[in-house]
Amino acid sequence: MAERALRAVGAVGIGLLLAIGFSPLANVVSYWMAPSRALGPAGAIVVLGRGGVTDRGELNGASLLGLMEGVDLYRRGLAPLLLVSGSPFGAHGTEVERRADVSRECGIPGQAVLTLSSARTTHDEALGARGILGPLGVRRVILVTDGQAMARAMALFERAGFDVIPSYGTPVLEWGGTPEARLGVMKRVVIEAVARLYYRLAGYL
Amino acid sequence: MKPLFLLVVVALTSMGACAVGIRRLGLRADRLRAAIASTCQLAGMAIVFLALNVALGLAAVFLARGVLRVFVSVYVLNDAYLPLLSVIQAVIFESWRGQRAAR
Repeated sequence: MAERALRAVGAVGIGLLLAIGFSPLANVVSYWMAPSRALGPAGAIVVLGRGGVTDRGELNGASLLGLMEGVDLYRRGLAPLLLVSGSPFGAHGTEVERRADVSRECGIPGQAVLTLSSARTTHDEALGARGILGPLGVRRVILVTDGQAMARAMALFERAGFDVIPSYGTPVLEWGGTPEARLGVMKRVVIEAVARLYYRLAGYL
Repeated sequence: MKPLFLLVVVALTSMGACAVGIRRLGLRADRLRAAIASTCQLAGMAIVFLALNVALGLAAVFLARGVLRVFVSVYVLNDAYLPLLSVIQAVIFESWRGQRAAR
């Protein structure tokens, strides 16, 4: 009986693995999870923490990618402020410090770059952003984070009193991708599903 | 194109293995179904180990946060080695079970 159950679980697992890698299943699920709203002017661009820094104190790829998206939105004139968040850990500088440095090196005026250094979770980031942007009268923000995490982050920021626009505006359904890339997308979808469940149980959503 | 290419490569080596197995090693073609079932069983055991590892890891993370007041990121579990190690656990455990059955 146990062997039969194991075989059924294994067959489903192998079938899912093949379906994820060799069909657009992951693309469709990811697209379905992504909220859609027209991209437009806002009071601030908020770049959520993503990935942190390397042992040498450099931003890792995911963190730099998110920051560059925020810098690009700023340079397109979509908001006058750029709030960068990130992991507070790092022996040779934190993600927030490095992101602020890189933003200024990209030509964004120092007074337009705000930092949120105390947040360790997305929930902390929403509350921290309210503490920084609320007194400045900012109500509408453009949020920069992973596509899969956007729905949860948007809900948290809306609960914190913001009107939120996802950085990508309207999501685009991409059919392509290598099996490995699709597996990565599906992994982030599963992680996000677990995170949503936890946030609901914790009363954050 | 790349996914299709990978499938074609794997299909060709699978057909080659079938040919070698039947003609050179004398394996019976009718036993292939049982081999696939065993593979599914092994995969099922790997999934069980992965679920246990994730559940235990999450419990440890939330225990550290709630009881010890130490912040540990859930992303410590986000590592490609966790599924690989789960597969190794499953292979060893299933081999062990197989030895008992052979006795």
